[in-house]
Amino acid sequence: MFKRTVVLAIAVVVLVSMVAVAFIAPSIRNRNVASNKIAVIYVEGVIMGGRGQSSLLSEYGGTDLIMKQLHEVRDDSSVKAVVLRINSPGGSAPASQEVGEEIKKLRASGKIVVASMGDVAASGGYWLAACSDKIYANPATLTGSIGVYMPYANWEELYKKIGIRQEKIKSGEHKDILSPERQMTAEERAIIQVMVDDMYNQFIAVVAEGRKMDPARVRQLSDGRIYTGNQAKELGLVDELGNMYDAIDGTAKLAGIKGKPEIKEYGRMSPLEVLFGASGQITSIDRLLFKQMNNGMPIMAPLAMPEKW
Amino acid sequence: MGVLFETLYDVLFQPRAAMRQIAAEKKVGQALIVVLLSSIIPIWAVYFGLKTAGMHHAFGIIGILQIVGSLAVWVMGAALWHIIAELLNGKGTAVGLLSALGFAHLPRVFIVPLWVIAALLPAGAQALFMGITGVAIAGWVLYLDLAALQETYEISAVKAVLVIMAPPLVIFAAVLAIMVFMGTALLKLPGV
Repeated sequence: MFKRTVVLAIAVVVLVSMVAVAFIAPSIRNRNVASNKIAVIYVEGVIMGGRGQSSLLSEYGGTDLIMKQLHEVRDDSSVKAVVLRINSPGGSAPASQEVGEEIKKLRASGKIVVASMGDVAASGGYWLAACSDKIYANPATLTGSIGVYMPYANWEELYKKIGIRQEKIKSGEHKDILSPERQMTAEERAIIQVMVDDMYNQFIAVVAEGRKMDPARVRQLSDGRIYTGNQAKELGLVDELGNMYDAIDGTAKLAGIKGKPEIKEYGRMSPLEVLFGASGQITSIDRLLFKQMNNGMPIMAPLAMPEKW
Repeated sequence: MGVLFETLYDVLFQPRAAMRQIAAEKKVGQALIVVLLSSIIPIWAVYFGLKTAGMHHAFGIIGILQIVGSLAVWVMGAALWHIIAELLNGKGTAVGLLSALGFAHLPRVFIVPLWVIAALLPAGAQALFMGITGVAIAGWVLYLDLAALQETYEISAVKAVLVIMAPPLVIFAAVLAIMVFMGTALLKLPGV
C-alpha cells in the first residue's frame, strides 16, 4: 500500500508539472529576454494568399505565414520594433491587403514597423511598405507601380485553329466572365473596370493614409509606373535612402533602443530545413502563373507585374 | 496496475532487487509501458519549448524521432548487450534484459518536474541547474542499466561496465584504425 501511495504521489507531481509547463513556458521566454529586440520579417517573391507550401520542417510562400509571423511578433513583448524586409514585385491585392491590415494592427499594439526595400518593392510590395511607420529604399530599388490590373487572355482564334469549341451551361449571364475562349463583351468590360477601379481606390487610400499624403497627389503619382528609390524619395513615397542595416539602425532610434539591438529573424531557414526541402521559395512570376493555371483558375494578377524583374 | 506500481517503486528505491525480479519474470509488457511513458512525458516539455521558440513545426519530426529512437535504442541496445554479456560468460536471457532495461528508462519522467523547477529559478541559474540535473538523470539511467546487466546475468560490476563500454570502445578503435590507415595512405602519396 505504501509503495503504491508513493508511486501515485510521484505520478501526481509529474502530471502537475506537465500542466505547469504549458503555462510556464511562454512566461519564461518573456522573463529571460531583454526587450530590445528588433524582429526582421522577410516578404519575398510574389505576394500570394494562402498557406504556401510546406516541407517537413517549415512552410514558405503564401501570406498566411507572414501574418502568423506578424502575430507572433505582436505577442512577443521582447520585440520592440519590426523591420519588414521587402523584396517583392507585388502579387494579389487581397493578399497584400490582409498583410497590410496585420501591419496596421502591429503598429496599433505599440510596436514600430519600418519597411526596408531590397531589389524591388513594387505594387503589392509597396502596399505593405505604405502601411509601415517609415520606408527605407536603396537609390536603385524599383518601387511604385501603384495601380491595379486584371489580365485577360483571349484564345478564341487559337481554339478555332485547333478545333476546340467550348460549350457552357450557365446559371447567370456573367458566370463565365473572363473566359478565355471568347471576346469579352462591353458590359463585362465595364463590370471588370468597376472592380479594378474599386481596388485601385482602396490602394490609393492605403498609400494616402500611410504616407500622410493628399489622395489627389497619390492618384497623380499612381498611374502604374515604377520609380527608382531615388525618385520615390523625391516624390515622398519613400522616407530614407539606405540598405537593410541602415533601416535597422533607424528602427532602433525610432524605438528608443540604446546600444546595439538584438536581431530576431523570422523565416530564416536552418540547415535542417534546407535539407528537408524548404529551399524552393516562390520567387518568380512563372511559378505564380503555373500555380494558378494548375488550379484551373483564371489568371488574375490585380497588381502590375512586369514580365521580367 | 498495483503490481506495476510496486515494481516502479522498487526500481526507484531498491533497484537491484527490482531488476533481478523484472528479469526473472520477464515483464516485457510493463517495460514497454515504461519506455513509452518515459519517451512521451519529456516530449510534452519539448513541445512547449519548441512552441515558445517559434519552432513548433519541427515538433512532429522530433517527437517521432524521440519515440521511435527510444524504442529502437531499447531493443537494439538489449540485443547488443545480451551478445556481449554472453561472451563474458553471463547467464541470463535477452527477454529478461529487455524487460529490465525498459524499466531503467524510468528516471527520464523526472525531466518535466525538474524543468518546471528550473523555470522558476533566476535566469542565470537555469542553465546550470538543467545541466546538473540532466547529468544526474543520465547517471541514474546508466546506474539502472548497470544494475539490470548485473542482476540479469549475475555478473560483476566490472563486467557490467565492460558490456556497456564495449560498443563505443569498438567504434572508437575502428575509427582510430581507419584514421591510421588513411594517414598511412596519404603519407605514401607523391608530393608536389
